[in-house]
Parts: sequence; C-alpha cells; structure tokens
Amino acid sequence: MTTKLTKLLALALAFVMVLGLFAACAKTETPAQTPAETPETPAETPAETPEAPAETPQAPAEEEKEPVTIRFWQAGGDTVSASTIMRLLLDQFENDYPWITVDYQAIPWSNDPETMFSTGIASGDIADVLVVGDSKAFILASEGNILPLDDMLTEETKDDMIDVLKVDSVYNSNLNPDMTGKTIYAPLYGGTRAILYNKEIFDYFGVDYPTESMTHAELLEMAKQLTGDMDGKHVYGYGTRATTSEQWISFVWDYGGEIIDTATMSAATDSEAWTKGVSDYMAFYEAGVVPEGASAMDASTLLNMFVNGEVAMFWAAVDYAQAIRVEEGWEEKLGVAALPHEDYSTCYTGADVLVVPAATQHPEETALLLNYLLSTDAQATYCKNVGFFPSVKSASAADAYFTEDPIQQAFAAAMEGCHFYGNYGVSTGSILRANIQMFLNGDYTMEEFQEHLTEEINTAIQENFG
Amino acid sequence: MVVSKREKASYYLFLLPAYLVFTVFIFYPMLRSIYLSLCKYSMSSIQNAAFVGLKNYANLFKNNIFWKVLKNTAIYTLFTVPLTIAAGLFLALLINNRLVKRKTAYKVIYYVPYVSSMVACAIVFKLLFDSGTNGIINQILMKLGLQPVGFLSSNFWAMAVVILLSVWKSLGYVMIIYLGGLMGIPTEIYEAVSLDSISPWQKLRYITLPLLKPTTQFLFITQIISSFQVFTPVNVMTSGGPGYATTTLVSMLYEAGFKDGNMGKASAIAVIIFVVLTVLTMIQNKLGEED
Amino acid sequence: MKKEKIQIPREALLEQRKTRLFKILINMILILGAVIMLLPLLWMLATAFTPNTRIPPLSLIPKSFTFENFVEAWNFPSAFSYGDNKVTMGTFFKNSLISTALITVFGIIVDSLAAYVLAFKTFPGKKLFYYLALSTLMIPVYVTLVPEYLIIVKLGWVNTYKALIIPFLASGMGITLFRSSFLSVSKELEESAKIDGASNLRIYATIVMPISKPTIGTMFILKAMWSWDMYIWPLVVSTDINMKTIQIGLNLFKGLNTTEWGYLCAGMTMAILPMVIVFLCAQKQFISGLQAGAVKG
Repeated sequence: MTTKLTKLLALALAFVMVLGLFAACAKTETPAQTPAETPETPAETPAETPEAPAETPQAPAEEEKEPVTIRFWQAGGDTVSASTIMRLLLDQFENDYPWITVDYQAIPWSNDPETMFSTGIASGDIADVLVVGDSKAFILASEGNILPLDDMLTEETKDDMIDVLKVDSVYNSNLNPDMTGKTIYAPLYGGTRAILYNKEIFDYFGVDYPTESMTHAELLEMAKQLTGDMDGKHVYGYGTRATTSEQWISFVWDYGGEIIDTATMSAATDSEAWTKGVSDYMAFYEAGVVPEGASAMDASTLLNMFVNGEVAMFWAAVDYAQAIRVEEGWEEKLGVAALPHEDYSTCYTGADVLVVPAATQHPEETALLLNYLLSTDAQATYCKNVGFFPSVKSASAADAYFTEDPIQQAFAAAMEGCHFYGNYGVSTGSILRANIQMFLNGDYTMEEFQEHLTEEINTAIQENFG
Repeated sequence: MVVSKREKASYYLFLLPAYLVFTVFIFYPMLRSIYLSLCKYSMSSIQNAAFVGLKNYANLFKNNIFWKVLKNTAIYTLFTVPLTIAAGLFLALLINNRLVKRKTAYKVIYYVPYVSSMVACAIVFKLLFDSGTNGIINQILMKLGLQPVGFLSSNFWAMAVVILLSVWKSLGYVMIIYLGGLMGIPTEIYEAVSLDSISPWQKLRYITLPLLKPTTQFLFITQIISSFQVFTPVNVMTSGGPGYATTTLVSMLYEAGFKDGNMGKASAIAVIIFVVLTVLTMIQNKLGEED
Repeated sequence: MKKEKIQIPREALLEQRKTRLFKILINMILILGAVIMLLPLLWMLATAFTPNTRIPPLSLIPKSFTFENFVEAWNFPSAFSYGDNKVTMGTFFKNSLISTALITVFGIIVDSLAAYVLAFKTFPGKKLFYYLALSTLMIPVYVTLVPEYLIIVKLGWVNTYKALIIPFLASGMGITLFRSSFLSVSKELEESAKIDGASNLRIYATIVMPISKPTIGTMFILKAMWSWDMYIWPLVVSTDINMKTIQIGLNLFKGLNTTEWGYLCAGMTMAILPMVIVFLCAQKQFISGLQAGAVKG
C-alpha cells in the first residue's frame, strides 16, 4: 500500500524535477518572453492603498474620472523632515486632483535605493515616478528604461527651470540615439558647494573673513594662518577629504580640465590642467593644514571636527550649513564663502531628479505630478525645509528666505559657476577615489597618478562600451 | 539488503523539497548567471542581454585592478582564517579547562559579536578607528601622549582593521565549534595518558589537535568560503580604500554590477569566485583524505 | 585523579599552588579577552543610554542616563510611513521574527529529510546530490540576486513573507551537518527498523531525528542567526516598508552624511537581544550538536 503511494509520489517528483530543469533551460534561452508577462504584477500591488473618490463631491466636474493610484518612490528623503514635507505636498496634490492617489515611499540612501530601483525595473515591478541622483538618470536613459519628459512637462515649467539644470537635464550622449536631445529628468532640487567657516577661529587668529573668491594659493595661505593651537586645541585651517571627488575636482575644473573628453570618448586626465589642479590640492596636504588621515575621511567625521572647532573652514553642501546653523551658538559663528578659482570659477553641482520609468501605466497622471512638484509653491515649501536649492527660478525669487538669507545667497552665487560631473555612462567614482588617495599618500608620483588614472578610465570605457 | 526499485524511487521524495528550493532559487539563478557572464547587460536590461562570449573574462584578466583585488582577497583570507581559527581554538581550550568557572558567561560574551549585525558592527568599528581626533582609539592614544594614527588612510592599517573586525566578529563562532569538537573527545583518552607524565603541550600536540582535525578542517573550509566573499566590512569602513588597498572581489563585483551597471563583468567575477572556492575546497578535501 | 595528600604532602602542596596559579592565569586571560571583545559592545550600550547626538559620544559611562533612545528608535521608522499606517521597529521585528521562526522550523525539516537519504541509502546520483548541496555554499549571493529576484516577481511574491522564507528553506550547511550527524547513528539500527517493516518516514521521525536532537539544536541556532541577519535579500524583495526586516531598519539610522548614534545603538541593542536569548536557551544542545555533526566535516 505504502509502496504504491511512494511510487506515485516518486514519479511525480521526477516529473516536477525534469519539468523544473526544462523550464529553467527554456527561460535562459528565451529571455525575451519575460517582460510580456510582468506588467500584470504592479497593478495588483497597490491594492491596499486607500481609495481616492471619497473626496469627489468637492470636485463634481471630475466625477467621471476613474480613480488612479500612482506609485512614487524617492531615493533619499533621509532627513525626517524631507519625507514628511513631501507627504504634505502630496496630500495637497491629491486634494487638487481628487481622482489621483499617490502611494509614496521614501527609501533612505543607506538602504541602497538605486539597487532596489534597478531590480524593480528588471522585473517590471516599478513605481510610476522615481527620484534618483542625476547620474543614475543618465544611466537609466542610456538603457532606455525611462521616458522622455518633453511632452510631460509644460512649457511654463520648462522655462522656469534653473539654467544649469535645464542644460543638464537634456540627454546629450549618442549611447541611446532614441533619447539624444530629449529631456530625461525634472530636477527636484539642486545642490552646490561653498566654503563654510568658523568665525570664532578667524577672530582668534586675526584673519579677515573671506569676502570674495580667492585663488587656490590665497586659500592655502589663509589655511596656513588658521592652523595652530587655539585654547589648547589644535586647529586645522582647512578640512577636506579625498573619499569623494566632489571635494577636489573643482581644482582641476578651475584650470579647464575634464575627466572624459566626450568627443573622443577617452580619458582626458593626462592633461596639464590635471597636473596643475591636483598639485594645488596636494599643496594643502603638504602644508599640514588638513587633518590627519584626511585622504580617507568620511563626510560625518569632517562635520564633527568642524562643529567641535577643530577645523576652521571646509567645503560643503547647503544641507550641512542648515544642519550646523541650528546647533547652539552657530547662527553667529557660521560663515559662508565662495569657492576658490583660477582660470575658471567652478564648483561641483548635483541634483536629485524625477524620472518616469518606461513601464509606467499612468503617464498622464504622472505628468500632472511632475508639474505640480516643480510648481513655485511646492518647490519653495520643499526646498525651504530640506535646505537645498529650488530647481525653478520663480521659487527662489518668490520667497524672501532664498533671496535674503546670507547662507542661501552664498550658495545661489556658487550656483552660477557650477559644473556637473558630466554624464558619460561610466562611473569614475571609485577610480578617482583610489588614484587620488594613492597620490596623496605618496604611493604614486604625479606622473604615475595621471598615467594610472588615464589607463583605468580608458579601461572602464572600453569595458562598458567596447 | 536488496532494495526494490520503488523503494529507491521513494528516496528522491525525501530530496524533493530541498532540491526543489535549490533548483529554483540557487541552481537556476546560478546557471543563468554563468550564461549572463558571457553577455553584456546591466541590471535593468537583463531581459535583452547581448551575448559577447568570453569578453568579460578577457577584460578582467588583462585588468591590473582585478589582479590587485584578487591579491587583496587572498591576503585577507590568509590572515583572517588562521587568526580566527587559532584564537578560537585557544579560547575553546581555556574555557574547556576544568579550572574555569562561569563557562556559560564566557561563551555568551565571546559569542555576542557573532550575532550582532555586521553593518552596525562595521559602523562602530569605523568610529573606533576613525581618523584624526574623531576616532576613539586615537583619542586614547593622544591621552597616552602618543601621535594619532590615520588608521583608515594607511594601506597597512586599513587592511589590518578590516581583518581585526572579521576576527573579532567570528572568533566566538569558531570557539563554540571547537568546544563541540572538544566535547567529542572521550575523557578516557586523557585519563589513560595522564598517568604517564607527558607535558600539557605534548598532550595538546599529540592527542587533542589530531582528534580535533575534522573540526579544524570543517572550519577551514567554511571560513575560507565566507572570507573569500567578504564585502560588508569593506563597504562600510573603507569603500575599498585607501587606493585599492582593501578592495576585495565582492566589492569589485558590487561596484561593477550595482554602481556601474556592468552586470556581465559582475557575473564573470562571481563565476571566478565560485571556481576558486571549488578548487580550494577540493584541495582541502584531498589533503584531509591523505593523512 | 585524586590527590593523595597524606602520602606526598609536599608535592601535593606544590601541585596545588601550581594549579592555583594556573587557574588565576587562565581566568585573567579570559576576563581580559572578554573585556576586549565586549569593549565595542559596551560602548554601544553606553551610547544607547546617552541622549542622542549626531556627534558620537566617546565615554563608556553615560554622562546622563536616558531611555529616550529606545522610544525614539522604536518610533523612528514612522517617519517613512503615513496616515494610519504607523510603521515602527515593531513592524520590522515582527517581520524578522515570523520569517526567522518559519525558516528555522521548516528549514530543519527540509534539510534533515534530504540528509536522511544521503546518509543511509544508496541510490544513483547520491554523490552528485551531496556535492550539489556543498556547492550551494560557494555561490556569492550578489550574483544570483537579480535572476533570483526575477523568479520572485514571476511568482508574484514581491512584498510577501513567501519571498523572505521559501528561498531559504534548504541550506547546504544544514544538509551536510545533518548528514554527518546521521552517519554517526549506527546503520544497523536503521536497517533493523527497516526489516521490522517501518517505513522510511517513520524511521526518520521516530528513530533518527530524536537521536539527533543536538544537531537540531545546532541548526536551530545557525538558521535563526542567518535569517535574523539577512540584509540584501529583504532589501530587494520588500519594497514596501511594511515588509522590511530588522537589519534594514537598523540601517535607517545611518543617514547619508550623519548618523543618529543614540538611536542606532539602542536599535542594535534591541536587535541583538533575541539572538542572545536564542543562544542562551539552546547553547547546550548547540555545542553538543557540533560534536556530533561538524566533527566529521
């Protein structure tokens, strides 16, 4: 009796296993079949979200509209206020468009949201709108995974965008000819860099506050004057770190250097401008005006040292300025100055941007959301709270906070000379980090540094496109 | 005993649940990854991967960074595994000693790091060894009148700190496994020997260690496998720096696949890791059989 | 090993003194080691009870004592959820507990079933099956991540417990450990039961498993720990904050530029506790299970 059952089961098992293997093999050979089936999944997921039509009586004209739920995933929103403010704005949006419900989710950077988005796109289970870093937007566009926004954004919105962001939002590569010349993202906010300084330390060493942009050498001279013992504590004149190139790439840009020559699609790092810029940066290390171990330092370490009065000046984004000024006594102590310059006056800029995955089911409603988030009021409200710079001109003009606050003004000025990394479809971040660290630590001479850097970037280009 | 065919077929039923899970969630994805390592694709374009043959492998083999990274991984493994095993054995021998009381307390204390989240432990270690005056170890050094050390900016120290964290974290696990092994040694053996007056060192060298050999071998294999895939401590503490000093195979894989969007390269690295580990395990097994 | 004090008092005295010195020495080494091992964790505890800052406190004794961090850490995730849906650390705990419990219980059954035939029976492909189980240990998780995730999507398991549990029901480690532990059960015992007419399933359930309690204890702890520690997988398959697990929750305290040290340490303390309790409960079984299992490699 048992044996009969066993035999049956054994047969079933063998069948299932063979079937499983067969299916597995079949899948490998015909991956093209997969996407056709996937779009069903996302439609099911938001089933739990509350129904919107409860509010319809307020807007009888829209009564016939079918209720729609759009999913909105934001990478970042780390600061508690950022996601709270975003939710408030979305509530307002839902009020304006009662048939739309926004299912919003902030994924902090520490939870690696871009990995999550990529796997989501691979499977077709992805939100209708994403917030990503601007370089990720470029990669997504190159892969053909996001929609062009030219028809989604209204003329009004497009005209209002800050110039640098408008330029950067246009896909200028030939990697994906379908997207060339199209707008690939709508910037949620812009961020740039300026020098933050501690007025107390300047007073102690009798150094005048910086009023206008200095040359690299003048900045170094000032850092030297600010280095020394103050009330039994050692103060470093200049805080920096080589863990992200945002801290030093401006020194190269200021001489006209670039990472990649887009015309030939090859590394441009063996140029004279690189030699000059990187030597200028190295001079700070050689002069002993930067903290011990600066080449491998973390952003938070530098921030701590600055707040503890161990660093006189450092180079940071506007959200740092906001975080510092709320600390006790810092409203008076904190100063903001322009970055240094040489032939050019440049400064690193980045933006967190809205993109629309190609898999979206609701392009119309999504377009409404994009234009709403780039409206004057939404931008002013959001940016005032998170501390970054609005991506539309009308928002920064409308609110006195952006025009009169000295810190905001300093950053707004920096925005004029700003410079994007340039989106090449190759992330050079770890290559730049490794090589500059080896140079700063004395493992490489300048020649070796430039040689290795150039070779490694060219290898990366070749691996990604060759 | 003669076994009927039906009976034999029923054995596969016992295997079914486990190997069904393996097939769907490990073997099939692995086979697909092996195939994908011959393709050019990014994570989000996996559905239309383009076949490029052995190009990903060829690129890796002529890339200097790959060899550097392979060397780093080997160095990390070479230090972490013997150190962890030696320290774990030492502790197990001490705790197993009949003169030691409060054994449970020691076991728990040494075991706690192993059950703590790796991400969180790495964050704490990073703070301990942070550069400048921000690091706790440096503050202590300065209080003792010594110069602060740029732990994470020095090629040597950065790797040493990563190894230290790994040893600290898995020490307790090795110790516990050895305690299990020590329990398996019948006390009669020691009692028989202790009549003859041999030194404790001889006892260890000629009785305990040989009897613990299977445990040691098990630990070597499993520890090498996990060390070769080290990622989290590096990613949190050093991002692979300074330079490429602490970049390991899996951190290179992660960088290529998840940051650069070059999943073909990432899959190729993974296949290489798999092959290296298989070969190492086979050598280990051979060595074990020979004695 | 009784010391015969009356016959040779001097040597015994010497022996006794030597033993006492030795005892002090080992205990000192163990205590010193314990302090070094615990230092980072003591700092964590101290910070958990110190008012939260973004600048890490450097003391091992809290300057002012507070429970605030635990409350704040518990409620912190609610910043990422809205309306009536209040996500707390409790949500993450619940998810981790459910998946850990199910993976542990069912995983042990699945592994031991396979190990049973691998240990006692001969059949075609036996060796192959054993090596296949071993090979699963060598596959880096980051590589199979995307294809594996695609399967989860096809099955419609995104944001479900199924995705967190089912892929981990079988483990190569479990199969090899159970197999070597079963090998130490006398084969004759199994065969004689077979001759008595008991079915394989019965022998497995009534003879082999009860003898292998220690190995079950070992796997219980190992599996519980692995599932509790899962990070990258839930990150990818749980896009909904309601389905995230404890390790992802802990990472919330680490912002892009700043870390909420007090909350992080309080959260870590809470996350470690269940595993310490599991270890305390099962440690005797755990260790003797290793004796039965791991020893044979």
